[in-house]
Amino acid sequence: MEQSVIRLEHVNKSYGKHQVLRDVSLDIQKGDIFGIVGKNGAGKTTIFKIILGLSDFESGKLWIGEEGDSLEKGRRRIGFLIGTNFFPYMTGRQNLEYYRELKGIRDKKEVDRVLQIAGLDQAKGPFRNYSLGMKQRLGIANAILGNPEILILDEPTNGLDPQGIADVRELIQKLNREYGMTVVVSSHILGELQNTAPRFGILSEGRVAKVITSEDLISDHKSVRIRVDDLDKAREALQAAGVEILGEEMESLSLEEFYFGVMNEESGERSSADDAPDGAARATARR
Amino acid sequence: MLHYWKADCRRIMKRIPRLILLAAVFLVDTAIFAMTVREGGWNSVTCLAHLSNLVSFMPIVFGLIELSAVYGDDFRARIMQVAIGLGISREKVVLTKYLESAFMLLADYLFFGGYFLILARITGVSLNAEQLVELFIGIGGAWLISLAYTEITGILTINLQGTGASILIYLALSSTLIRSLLDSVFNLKVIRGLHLSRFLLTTAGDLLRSRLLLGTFDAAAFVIVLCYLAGAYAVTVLLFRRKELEF
Repeated sequence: MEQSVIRLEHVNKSYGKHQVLRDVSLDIQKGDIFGIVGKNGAGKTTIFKIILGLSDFESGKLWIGEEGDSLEKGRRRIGFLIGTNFFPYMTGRQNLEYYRELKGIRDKKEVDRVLQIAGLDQAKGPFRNYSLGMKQRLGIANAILGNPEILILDEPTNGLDPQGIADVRELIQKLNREYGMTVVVSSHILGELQNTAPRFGILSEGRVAKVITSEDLISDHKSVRIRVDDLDKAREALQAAGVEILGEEMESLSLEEFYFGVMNEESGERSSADDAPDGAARATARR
Repeated sequence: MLHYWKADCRRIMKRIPRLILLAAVFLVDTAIFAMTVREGGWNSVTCLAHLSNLVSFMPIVFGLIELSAVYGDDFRARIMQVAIGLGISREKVVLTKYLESAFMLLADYLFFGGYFLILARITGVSLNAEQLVELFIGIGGAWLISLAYTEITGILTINLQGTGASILIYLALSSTLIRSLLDSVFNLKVIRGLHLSRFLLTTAGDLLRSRLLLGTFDAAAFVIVLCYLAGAYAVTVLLFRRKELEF
């Protein structure tokens, strides 16, 4: 049986008369990538604040870490990205050196490692001059500093360009696959979360409306995509077998696939244009 | 907690605005020192008197600088929130900030003592053992008072997560304003007989210092000072325990 690493049971939380969490129960298993999805104000950040000890709750229970861990001991297993908590006058490296010391990490190469993962090893200048994407990357680097067992990421793709979003997605999956990190990630961008996590909790008005897996999305679906070499013959075969065709949709690339196709072609053309004698560039889109 | 303390102390010690402010303070003090030397009659007695006078102003100066240095950047970067999220209890977070204040203030006062002793030697004056003890008891007393004021204002600082209001309270505490107010209240006929002024922090601090100079230790005065330190910590933690914190 999988082991729970974070468990909330019937947690209720109010700010004055406004109830922000109603009877919230979540069970995050070791090795999960668990997505929490909900619109702004649904309670995603409040859940994280409760897990991290920044907010109290009126009723319910919270467990973190292994059996018998106190909440403080459990929290020591967590790395997190919630907002960006850095000193504006320090460089990214200096900020991470500070956090390395705060977390009691002896290995000085750890900062180089996470900066490289985040693509910030060449970044210069103080944090206050970083772009939004760079700030977010530094936050992710800090979250994974010290290889925590549990990673909590609150909207980690905020401010990132499409390449950055894809990089974060791959990073989360790699950390889970290769380091066994349990990841809890929140977003209000459904498509992005679907590409990242196999299990989701859907929050609505402070309640967990549903907890589903990506298999549930498939098994609830009544259509399947079949690739054929001859569409007309396929139609005739289905009709002959008494299968009613309810509708047809032309397969299209996702915007992300199209975008990366163009980017790859552009970078390929730039390197071949340097070699080509006439310097001609082609600009074709892939369908 | 120790890692948090070390990381912060290392960071604060390198903070340029703080170093500039401290340098400015020492520059002004050096100028006053030089002018006093030039007035004539300069010897170890006048030197000690002058240094003791300078020390009496330092709780305001060092206290305000370190209040800003220890807490200001921490609040802007929300480091307390990070520390709590990493599993450091709120009680230990408060204790860490108080220990940082204690360390920074101690460093300031020790540097002050060392710096001016060297300056005194340069001007041809050497303090004897008794005078050195008197100077360092004065410095120790000023350090303790600065620390107590920082902790008392820490009740507001930590729970409001800002230094604005606490700077004003610190100024009021370290000036004669609050002491004069309390003295007036304690001299009222109805409560005069209770001799409440002996429980004031500054009274206890003065008593402790003067008794030490006479070679004795006033345990009662020391306990009163400790009660202020411990009491300020306890109240801060009590209020901070349930405080909602934002990222």
